[in-house]
Amino acid sequence: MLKFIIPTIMLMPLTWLSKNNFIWVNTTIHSLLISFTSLLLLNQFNDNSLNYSLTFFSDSLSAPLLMLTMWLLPLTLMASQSHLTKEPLTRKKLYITMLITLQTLLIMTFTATELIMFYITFESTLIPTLIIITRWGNQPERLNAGLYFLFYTLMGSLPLLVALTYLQNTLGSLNFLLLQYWAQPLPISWSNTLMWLAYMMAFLVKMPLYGLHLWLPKAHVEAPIAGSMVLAAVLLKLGGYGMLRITSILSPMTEHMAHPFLVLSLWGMIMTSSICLRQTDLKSLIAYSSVSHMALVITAALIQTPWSYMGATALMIAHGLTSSMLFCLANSNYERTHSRTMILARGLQIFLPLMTTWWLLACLANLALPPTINLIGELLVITSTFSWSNLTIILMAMNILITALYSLYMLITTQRGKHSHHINNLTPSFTREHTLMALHIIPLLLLSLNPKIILGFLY
Amino acid sequence: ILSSQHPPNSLNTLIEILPHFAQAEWLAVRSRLKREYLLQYNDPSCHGVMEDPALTRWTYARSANIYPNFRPTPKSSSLLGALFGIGPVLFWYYVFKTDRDRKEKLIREGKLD
Repeated sequence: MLKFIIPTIMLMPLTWLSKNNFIWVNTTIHSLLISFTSLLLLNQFNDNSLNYSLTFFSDSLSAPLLMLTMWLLPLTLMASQSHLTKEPLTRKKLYITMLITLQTLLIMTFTATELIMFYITFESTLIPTLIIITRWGNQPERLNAGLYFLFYTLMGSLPLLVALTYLQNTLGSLNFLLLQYWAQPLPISWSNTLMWLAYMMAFLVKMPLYGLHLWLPKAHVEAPIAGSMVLAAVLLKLGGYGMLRITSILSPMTEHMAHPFLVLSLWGMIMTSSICLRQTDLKSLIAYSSVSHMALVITAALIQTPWSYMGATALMIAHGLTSSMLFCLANSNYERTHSRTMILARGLQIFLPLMTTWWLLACLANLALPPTINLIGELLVITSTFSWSNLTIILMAMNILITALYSLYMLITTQRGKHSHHINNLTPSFTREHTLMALHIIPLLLLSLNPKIILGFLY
Repeated sequence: ILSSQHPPNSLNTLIEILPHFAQAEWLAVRSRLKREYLLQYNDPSCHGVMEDPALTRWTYARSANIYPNFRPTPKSSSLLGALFGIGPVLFWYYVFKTDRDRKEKLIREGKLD
């Protein structure tokens, strides 16, 4: 594991000591090399875990998420090049340092064995993200966004610290590999109810669950492109990863406690999808679509069947790549028109036809077109919720319909139709932007050929 | 027309006070805006997007500046909130709870799966 962490930490001296016109090249290429390292070494299946040491392990659940995290750093660096050109050199290097710090902490979070270390790095990822949102966002609303983001997530996760400390005191160790075998079934009582809530609230706020999702549209919309990408693709999955891990030690109580949250996420799925149909702000639409997809993951994680766990992990990876790609596409529009309004840059197929290809692929992936992994995830979740209770099929079917509606609405508004007549001076697409989109969609399409590596530990 | 029901503010003062001059004023404003737009549209050295202040105000009012432009009425907030926010959650909670309890009972008695 040090073979990932030390090179990633060493990216920081690389940025500060590189020559001025080489910082972007150096950091992007080196982070790409580090991500290739993760690709080669982490493919594993079944229930085995690869134990690097007493402090780090990787599982077939954390390996795909780790690969996603490490793949995303070069992509975020590529995406940020354009909006940072006017900044002074020190601030550019600071921005890259924030991204690298975030990356290191995320690697440690996904591979932590000891749950307290997981908690510490889980919380520490908030700080670089907060700095990126509040310092480099574009509108004055970013301050409000940073506040909501920090305090929602912090308030949700403080009870988790208490619960983990209690578990350490009773069981003696919080080594996750041992916990799976030591944990006693939880009898139903009021204090155990509170403990269940303490464990789950942190991850439910992070996912986010429908009633606690207010921070997400603000944070995603106000963040700069790298912040949005990392938030949507990885930080939300921290919540999903935590939920999938922690439900294994909370076992029989979840069936009774999960009902309110299941209903909230099932209904919230439809509500947030419907809000997407009414959005005028492109980034806001993609943010609400993230909430909707993550509600599916919450549903799957709370049902606790093998198929639903496979669907949850597949959905997390698929949504990470798709949502990050959609944010990059929205950012390419924003850099040209300096506005997030959808109708301002419409009918772009005439002007930027190759970018239309990427828009098409991203929107089709978002609406879970076969044979992408989005579909595999959604299908597994839908069938497992159907076996949980037959009536969920009504809500799930409505959600699929509305997801298709807003994805196609987004595609048609930005690409098709008559173009707005004052955008006759759009700069053509850069090769960097095409590379960025290609590097998002190629893993997604390749995974459709071999989805078993992202199906998690119950495959 | 000045009255107690419409307190004067900068937006509607002109039109309210001078009804038969209002059209001329509004026409002047509109033609000024159109002239500025056409100047920018036909200018070959115009670099960048032509900004529409009305669109900026509209998007700002929709996203960030909601409270001054929105007045919660019992119909818009309480009825809609109950109908779409609280009602369905309670409804589906009871539906799923009863369905799930029925299934658990059947599983325990061995009649299903």
